[in-house]
Amino acid sequence: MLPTASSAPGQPETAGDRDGRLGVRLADVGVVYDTKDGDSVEAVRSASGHIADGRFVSLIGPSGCGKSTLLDVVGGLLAPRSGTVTIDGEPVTGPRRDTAMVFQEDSTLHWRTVLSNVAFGLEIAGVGRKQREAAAGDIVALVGLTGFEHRHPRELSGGMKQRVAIARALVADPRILLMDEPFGALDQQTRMFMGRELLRVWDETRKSVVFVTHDIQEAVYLSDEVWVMSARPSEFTAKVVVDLDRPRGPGTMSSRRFHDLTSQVWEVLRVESEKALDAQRELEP
Amino acid sequence: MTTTETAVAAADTAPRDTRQPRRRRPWQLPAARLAVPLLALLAWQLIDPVTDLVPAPADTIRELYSGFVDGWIYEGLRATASAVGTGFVLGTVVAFPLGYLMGSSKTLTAIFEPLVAGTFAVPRVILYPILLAVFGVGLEAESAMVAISAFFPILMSTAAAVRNVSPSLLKLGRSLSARPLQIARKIVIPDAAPSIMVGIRIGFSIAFIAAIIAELFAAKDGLGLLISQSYAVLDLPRMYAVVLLVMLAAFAGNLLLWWAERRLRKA
Ligand SMILES: Nc1ncnc2c1ncn2[C@@H]1O[C@H](COP(=O)(O)OP(=O)(O)OP(=O)(O)O)[C@@H](O)[C@H]1O
Ligand SMILES: [Mg+2]
Repeated sequence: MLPTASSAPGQPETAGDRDGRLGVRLADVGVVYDTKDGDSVEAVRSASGHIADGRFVSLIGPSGCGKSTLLDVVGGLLAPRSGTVTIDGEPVTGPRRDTAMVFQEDSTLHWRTVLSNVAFGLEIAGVGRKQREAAAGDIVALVGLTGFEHRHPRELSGGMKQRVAIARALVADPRILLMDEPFGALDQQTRMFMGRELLRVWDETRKSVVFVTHDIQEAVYLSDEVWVMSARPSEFTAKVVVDLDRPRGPGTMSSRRFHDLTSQVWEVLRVESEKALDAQRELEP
Repeated sequence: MTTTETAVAAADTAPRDTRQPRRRRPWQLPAARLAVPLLALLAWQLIDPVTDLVPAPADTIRELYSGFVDGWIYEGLRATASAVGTGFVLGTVVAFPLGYLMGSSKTLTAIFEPLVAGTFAVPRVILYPILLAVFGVGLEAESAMVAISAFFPILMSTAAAVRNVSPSLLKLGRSLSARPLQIARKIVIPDAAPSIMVGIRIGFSIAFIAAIIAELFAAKDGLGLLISQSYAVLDLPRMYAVVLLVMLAAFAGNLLLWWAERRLRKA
């Protein structure tokens, strides 16, 4: 195995910290859902990790392993059953203004135009109309929705709605961006294009990003680290550090190193996905 | 433009539905809408010679016209309108916040839903004698009757609409640290508005029915009273004239709400 593939912790805690910011830290996070019929589902068993300030981390893992659940915990929407999440050393007790989320499901407000959807977060934060619409206009252009500012979500394709959600998250210039399969509904070309745009924004602003995806190439292409999750109840089985040069471009994907890293992630993921499928088969009669 | 950008643009403008709706000519819809009442009028005219119990449409309309010119209809119209107006507003103002509360709390829903659903089936008219005993014959009793009638459909539809607000939108609101009032005003109510408006329209219709029934039963004034009075002396043209007016008024009221709903939806 290649030396850059570090498994679990091992990473110096101060790496990447800037301005004394400690970044996002997960310590033994466990999440149990209580279901309606009185049962409980252990979604996440023990997740630990450190996202140093300004790092781009992708989460990848079999369906149902708890990726969205973990994002909810980091975003302060869900309290973990055990363990803690801290941002810059402060425990997360609820949603924070410097954290923005892009949800897996469609979350556009169907009665609002694209522009006012994008400006929604600023409106909630009490920013004046002129100012927030100017800011929203810039971001709308960034995600390639120029000309659609005054359309309603029902007039947009699934991928365009996702871009509205991405724009809404970016508009308030958050320090931490939690994105749950934001490119899931996009075709391959648009996906690549949006990925490159996201990297461009990220290069300029160096937000900390947690990015959930099922696409290994996308994860490796975008990230500083790819964290692979086990099947439910999950933990991180491997953390692959991506040492590809930045800025990345079309050349990155044809490099030998890129190929090595993707196969490395794929190898871990294949084992976990098989476990997940086996577990499902066992549940069936 | 690079190839990627072209692909992006193409993806955005690609048609999503190839079935084009057949284009209607602009006059077709209004014509169809007008044709229905005209056909009803024609049918009315046709059955008129068959029976003595139905006055001719022309006589009825002339009688209604005289009601406005000679003025005998105003008092009744005003009484019914103010009973429906006050009762409906009162019922809505009470039902909406209660429905909202019920819809946002699982516990309240669990407690009240069976009660409300059960009560919904009880004909509210049976309460009218009690209201008469409390308020005496007059506007108060009738407005109370109207308010109670409007209350239930509005309560139930508001509760259901609030309960069905998309969880991902609520999640969005929470993640943006929206305050409860902001969540209500900017997420829950707009998302629930179409279903709430349906309840309000049903509430209005039921309220109107309740007012007329109450007036047929006991009232000092009102269109219902005019109907029962003209029935007592077998003044059929007048009776039909008032019935026609009631239908027109209900139609106009519903049309107004429908229009308000469409305005609201666009806003
Ligand atoms: N509200 C809930 N109540 C009960 N169980 C839940 C709830 N939300 C999620 N789960 C369960 O927790 C587990 C993890 O769900 P989660 O949505 O986090 O998975 P995921 O990794 O995001 O999957 P996917 O890749 O399909 O989006 C699943 O087994 C799911 O059934
Ligand atoms: Mg998910």
